[in-house]
Amino acid sequence: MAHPVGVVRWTGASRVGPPLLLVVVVALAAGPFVVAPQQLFGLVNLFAYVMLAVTWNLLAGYGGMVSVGQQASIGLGAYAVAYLAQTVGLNGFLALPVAAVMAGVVAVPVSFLAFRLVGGYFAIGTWVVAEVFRLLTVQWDAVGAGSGTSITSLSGYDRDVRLALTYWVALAAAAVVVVGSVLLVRSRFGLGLAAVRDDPVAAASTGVGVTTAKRVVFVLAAAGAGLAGGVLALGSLRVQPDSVYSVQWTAFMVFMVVIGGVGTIEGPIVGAVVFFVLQQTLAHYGATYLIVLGVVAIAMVLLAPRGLWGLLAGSRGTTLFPVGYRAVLGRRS
Amino acid sequence: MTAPILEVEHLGRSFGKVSVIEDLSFDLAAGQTLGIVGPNGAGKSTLLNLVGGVLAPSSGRIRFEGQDVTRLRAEVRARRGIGRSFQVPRPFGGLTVLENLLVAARFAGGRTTPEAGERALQVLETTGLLSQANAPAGSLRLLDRKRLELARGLASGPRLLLLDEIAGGLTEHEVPALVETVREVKESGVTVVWIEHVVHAVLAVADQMMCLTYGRMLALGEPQAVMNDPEVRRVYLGSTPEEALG
Repeated sequence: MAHPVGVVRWTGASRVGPPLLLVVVVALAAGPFVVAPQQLFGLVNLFAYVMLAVTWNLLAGYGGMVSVGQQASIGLGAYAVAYLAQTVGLNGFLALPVAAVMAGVVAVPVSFLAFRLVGGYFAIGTWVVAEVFRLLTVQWDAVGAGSGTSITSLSGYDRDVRLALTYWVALAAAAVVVVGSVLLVRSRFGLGLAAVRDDPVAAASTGVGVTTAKRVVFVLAAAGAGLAGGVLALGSLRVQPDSVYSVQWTAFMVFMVVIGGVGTIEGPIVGAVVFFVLQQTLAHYGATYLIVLGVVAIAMVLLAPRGLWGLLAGSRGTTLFPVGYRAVLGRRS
Repeated sequence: MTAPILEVEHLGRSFGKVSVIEDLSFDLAAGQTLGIVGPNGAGKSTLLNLVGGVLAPSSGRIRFEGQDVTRLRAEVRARRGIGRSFQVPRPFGGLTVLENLLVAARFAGGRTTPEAGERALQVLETTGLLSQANAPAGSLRLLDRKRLELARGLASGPRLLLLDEIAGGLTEHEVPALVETVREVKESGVTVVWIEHVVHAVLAVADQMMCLTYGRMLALGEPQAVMNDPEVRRVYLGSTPEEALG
């Protein structure tokens, strides 16, 4: 007869993730000393993809909210950095956290609007919000209206120094987002959020504040996407409304999360790396690149609906991070 | 007589023009077990949804432990001490069985992680789900899903437990174990409201029985008296007890 010994969070596999993450971040931090500047630029984009995938996964995979409008926050974050750096005169790198907070703050009233809708209506509603933001930006002359604006205030830095700084800031931002998402999913809040995703009615009946949980994750995901948008702006030093508010970002986020494994910590990171590699490899083939992405996504959904990480983790849902709970059962002595 | 833990006053709920619960009033003393029977569509599950807070009433009032909870959201009622199970199981499919119970123990029960873990394991053991503790709740078969409904309802440590047809779909030799579990819950001082079609199961535990039909109370009182009531027999059990009970 099995006898309960206790509940544990750290298992063999879940001890691997935190030190592995630390090693990877430290190794990546050496990037500017070993990698050519052009590749550094690519890696800045990779870090932004990781942030986008991780935050969209929080929203859809843990919160059950399939948003098609995260580009609203990407655009806000990018424009906030550009505006703060160019017009307000704040250092571009310091503007980044401010941009993330701004994207989060704006998401609060948006959530009251969006939460009136559910399912497919919610998805389309968030897209409409993003389009409204784009149209408002296009009217705003201070940030270059329809043609966008450049961030020139960072030209005081030597080019290589600026690139290295951008790289480190982007890496730090991605690390904060990944660690933050692990802590969030691991917390009491994360447990309640997963309950809300699986069954909101049962979640409420077990004491979980459903709307509050959804609102908190909606705002945090917006802040994360805003941070990613700011990083993209710092990387390219150019912000254009049609590019930062493009719905294509959502397609990329869905791709990364589905390929990697929705509702897992590791999946979106794996998905972001796969997406980045595909993008780098296929960049010269024009539209063919998007066709390949589409075919890969369809094949994954049909053959491995739990994503690449789902394949690796197996049916037991092994995770490298201590986010779950396991009962340890022994024998009665 | 102990003070009533649950007071239902002139409760009504309609969906459009259809009145599902009509002017229903009753009190339930703390520690008592109330069995509710009635034909399909009598409003039994609606009554549970009204008490649990999943549905808002169209009229009337509900008091729990002397406090008016009529307008409180389900999550607030859960934290105040009302636990429940659902007739059609609603597991958190992406979480393990253990984690399903931890949600209730941490949120509704307000326990810390270690306390919640202890409570969850204890409830898993009493409900016979311990060997499934680490299984994904979405992979359980029907019987275990039913057990999980009861276990999750208990995990918070409720003072009022609402059970909705937890014996439905169980085989005859599985029912006594379930009855035993509910009896243990009752003996620990929890007030229970139990809707059940498997009449002999609920009769084994109930202190009082209520029969609902068309949203109205047909009878309420001592269990055998209610089940022998000619009106109850007519609308629910069929013309004779022999036919109905086999």
